[in-house]
Amino acid sequence: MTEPDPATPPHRAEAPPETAGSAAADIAAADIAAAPGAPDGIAAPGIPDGAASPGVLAGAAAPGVSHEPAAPAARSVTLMEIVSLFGRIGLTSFGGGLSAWLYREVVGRRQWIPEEDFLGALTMAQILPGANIINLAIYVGHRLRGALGATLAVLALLGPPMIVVILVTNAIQALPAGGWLHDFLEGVAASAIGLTAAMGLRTTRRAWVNGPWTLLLTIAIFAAVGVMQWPLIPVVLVLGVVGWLAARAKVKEEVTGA
Amino acid sequence: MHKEGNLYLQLFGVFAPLSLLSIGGGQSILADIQRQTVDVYHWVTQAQFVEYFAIARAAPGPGSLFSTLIGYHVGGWLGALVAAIGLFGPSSVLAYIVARVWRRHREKAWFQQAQRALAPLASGLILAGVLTVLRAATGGISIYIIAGIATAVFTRFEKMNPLPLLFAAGAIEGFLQHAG
Repeated sequence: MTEPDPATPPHRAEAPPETAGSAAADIAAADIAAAPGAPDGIAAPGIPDGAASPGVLAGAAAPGVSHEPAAPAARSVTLMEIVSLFGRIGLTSFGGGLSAWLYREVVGRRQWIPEEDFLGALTMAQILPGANIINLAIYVGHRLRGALGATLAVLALLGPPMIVVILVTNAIQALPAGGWLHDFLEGVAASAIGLTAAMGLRTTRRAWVNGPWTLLLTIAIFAAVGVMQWPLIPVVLVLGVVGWLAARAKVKEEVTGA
Repeated sequence: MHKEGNLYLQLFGVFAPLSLLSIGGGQSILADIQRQTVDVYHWVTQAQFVEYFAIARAAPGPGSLFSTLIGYHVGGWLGALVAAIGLFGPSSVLAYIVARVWRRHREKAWFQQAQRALAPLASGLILAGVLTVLRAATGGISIYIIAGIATAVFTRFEKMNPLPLLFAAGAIEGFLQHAG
């Protein structure tokens, strides 16, 4: 049930009309993947010229045949697509909140990974040491294309912005009136908070299909870690067990109900 | 200016152990990075530290890239690279191992349940992170207003390209701070 069928229509196939215009430039700049309005299963029209690569054909022709980290998509994601996506996120994610950017692209737009899968990995990424987005990139890269996918995802995510941030710093220090750029960046960072908040609200609403316990759990961990600023790991361990019991009950209920 | 010894080894020696201690993201090791780079090694001043942190947070890419700014400041491009490898290397190796184990169990029933249980936790942690970042913001009330409006817009138009709004917010904040 949680492992989505490629034939299942995407949960947000009805693209709101207002997005078509604003997203157009974005998509043109990007590679192919999810052409607006095109249902996920029909990947063929969007496949680039390089589609003759063996990975693509193998993924499409024999889904699940010992192709270990196979994506749930109708075809497997190419390494170039991984590099292109993570490079783009690394370079465009002004103001931080990279998990939200990755979520938009990987779960929302391209539907390479189902939402629950992504959020499970996100929680793991938060528990583990290291920057959340890098841990998440390793998971996503590995899930899509194994070790090479994970390595390329991290390099594409870190390399370009590392150069940019150094150049920006040099620019700020060279400018006599550096204050303006500083305030500009503050404003960018503030609105980027909105991107992350919107992701939190959206995933909270989506989880609701599993029952009201999901909302209680979300509020509890927000209060404990965000408001009370209790240490993350013990809180996640305790609430994780609570959530696991609730999820188990829910699964049982589904089985007996059906 | 600095202590004796090879600078690049020192950079690596400061950041690599912290890599495995940075549980819950970069915030948890911030204090210790500051202590070592400012107080112990005098690679940067306190003011530079704060400035680099603000720049890395606003510029594209992970905020933890600010460690590479410290590396660059004291050791040029090679210093930046060494600091990045030190801070991101060890934790990435660990994350890779966990990802492999994680994926191996994905078909099992308990795993599916666990994944379903972790989703609401992730949502709560995301929102908690929002609160933490808001608390740390240096600006005034305009920061909260911009963040609130951006949340509403991004929630309503979930597929929109965020960049125009981000840049507009930057321009508005720049204007507000300099007009007033």
